[in-house]
Amino acid sequence: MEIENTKAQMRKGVLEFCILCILSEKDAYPSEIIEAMKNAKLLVVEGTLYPLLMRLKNEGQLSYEWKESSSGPPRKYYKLTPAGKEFLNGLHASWQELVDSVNQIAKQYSPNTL
Amino acid sequence: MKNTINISLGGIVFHIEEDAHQKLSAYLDAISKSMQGSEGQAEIMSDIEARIAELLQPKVTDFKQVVSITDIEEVISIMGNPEEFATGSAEPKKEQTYSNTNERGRYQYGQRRIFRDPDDKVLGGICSGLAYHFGIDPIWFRLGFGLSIFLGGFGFLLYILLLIIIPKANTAAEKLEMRGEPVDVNNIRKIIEEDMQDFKKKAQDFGNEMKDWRNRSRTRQFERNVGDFFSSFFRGLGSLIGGILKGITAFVGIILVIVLSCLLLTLAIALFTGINVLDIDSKTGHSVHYSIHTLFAALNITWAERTMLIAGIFLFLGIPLLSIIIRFGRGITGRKRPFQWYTVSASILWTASWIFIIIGIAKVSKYFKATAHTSNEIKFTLPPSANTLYVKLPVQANANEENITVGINSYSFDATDDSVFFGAPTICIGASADSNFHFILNRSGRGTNAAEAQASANNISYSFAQHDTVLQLSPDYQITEGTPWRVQHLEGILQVPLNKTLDMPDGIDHLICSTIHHKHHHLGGHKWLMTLQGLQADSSSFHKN
Repeated sequence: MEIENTKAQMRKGVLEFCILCILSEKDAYPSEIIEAMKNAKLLVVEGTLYPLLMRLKNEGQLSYEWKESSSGPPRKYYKLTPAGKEFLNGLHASWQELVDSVNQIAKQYSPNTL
Repeated sequence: MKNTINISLGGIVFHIEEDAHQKLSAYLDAISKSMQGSEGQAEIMSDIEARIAELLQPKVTDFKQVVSITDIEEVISIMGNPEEFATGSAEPKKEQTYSNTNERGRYQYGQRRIFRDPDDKVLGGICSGLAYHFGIDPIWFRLGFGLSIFLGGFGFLLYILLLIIIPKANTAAEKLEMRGEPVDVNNIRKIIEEDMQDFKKKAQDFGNEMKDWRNRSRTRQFERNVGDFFSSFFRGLGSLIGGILKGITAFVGIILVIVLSCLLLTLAIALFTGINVLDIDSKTGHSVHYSIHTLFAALNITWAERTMLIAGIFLFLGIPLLSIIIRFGRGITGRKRPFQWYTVSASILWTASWIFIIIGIAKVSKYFKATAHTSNEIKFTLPPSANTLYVKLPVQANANEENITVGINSYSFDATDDSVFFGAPTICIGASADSNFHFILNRSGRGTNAAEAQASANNISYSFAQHDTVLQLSPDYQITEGTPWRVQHLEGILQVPLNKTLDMPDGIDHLICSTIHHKHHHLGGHKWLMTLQGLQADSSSFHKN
């Protein structure tokens, strides 16, 4: 149980970054974002996504428009705003840094040494 | 066999089994609760509902038309635990006591908390919220706050403070907390059912609620409370004032309906029965009775013209009256459905009344087309020694002076014969060109043509008598019997020679139209000397009086 919790915490930290990345490729509906994240095993429960999208929208990184759907009521179609793109560039740079740093530290540990 | 409920989720209708519905609404409530106070809560909730709808849709087929509890459980496992939702938000997480451990979906909360009760409120729901907390009837709090207003307004300030501090119980869970009941699925269902019974009222408040929701999504807790305070305070105040006004309106409405109905009845009686509408005692001792019949008879117009005018006036005044009566009557009885047939026929008749009146007036006005004036001058010769002309009016005139002004434009009609009427002449004072008093009588009248106008002018008879130094005037002139009313008028010009005195009686002032004297308006009761500058008050006469 503990490890699940920690994993969840780790994922949560990068969820925003991932959402922005997915949207930088193409505009998407929440269900498409969910699909993409599930494929990447990043998202375990969907409910987490909505408050995040809302916060990114409120911060001005995202905007959405309503689009008609063939199979039901109109859906929100999210896309990156120019500010969001800039934000993402910044995040991307610091992500690279973080990955490098973490890898650096993680290298010192190998499961075999225990 | 299971009961199913119809719900709308994200704009899609689902048939859902009762136990599944309980589970779903408890779940949504818990999510809502977990995000309490975070930005965009309402919007997130609707997004989540839309997603749940999306997930449920494929689970419903032609063969399985109903959403079951296993479907809901599956959706909940996909969507996740409400606790995790709030972590996506930057808002600090509130203390949560939510637990999903119990199989029955029982959510436990701590003790009872104070909320404002939006369902039972006069102003902001403070009193009923407090009453729930202390377990007594809200009337005592209301009474306390009500009385405290008379004790320096402390209670008023306290109330406002409490309105700001105490949050409103918005969700079913909060309402249960307020009541101190355990927040479990059954109780939530109870609350929701209560809400459903209240649905009609809710629908009316829908617009306000939407505004509230939007406010909630933009502002933080305190601001929200302040905003809430204002909206509920004013809405409450509004409903209080509205209630009082409704009472007053109903009372005034009933009075108005009675008064207007009487007015309508009077109008009908006055127009159609020839009953006397006004009795006045004339100054010459005649008792004058006005009726619509008398007035129309005096006009001496044809039956068709008369009918057209009477019908036109009745409809013109009566239809708006009747409409107001119906309107108020409907307001009092609460009957909302408009009478279609009435509205249509009333509009047609009212338009017709305009046409009647316009045609009637156009037709009648031809009787007044031509104007004629006649003038005759009488020279008064006073005894050589006399310098003063004493003008006299009949004694009665003084006593009844005030009554007579009530007539229409100083015309009075005699009821004994429909056509005889009296009018008050106007008297002007002027300067005489020679050393004699002159009295000039100008008669005027109207008619279809010059000859008729002349005849109607000549029909004015005015009685006056001069004897020695006394001029006896009559306060009104008469029209010879059988002559129709054609705006006849009599003007008497009294010319006073230089250095002669005029003694005016009391009660003449209402007849005087113009003088060559401007300093005093009241000529009556005084002596006046004609000078080169006009009439001057004879000071001795003032001393005498």
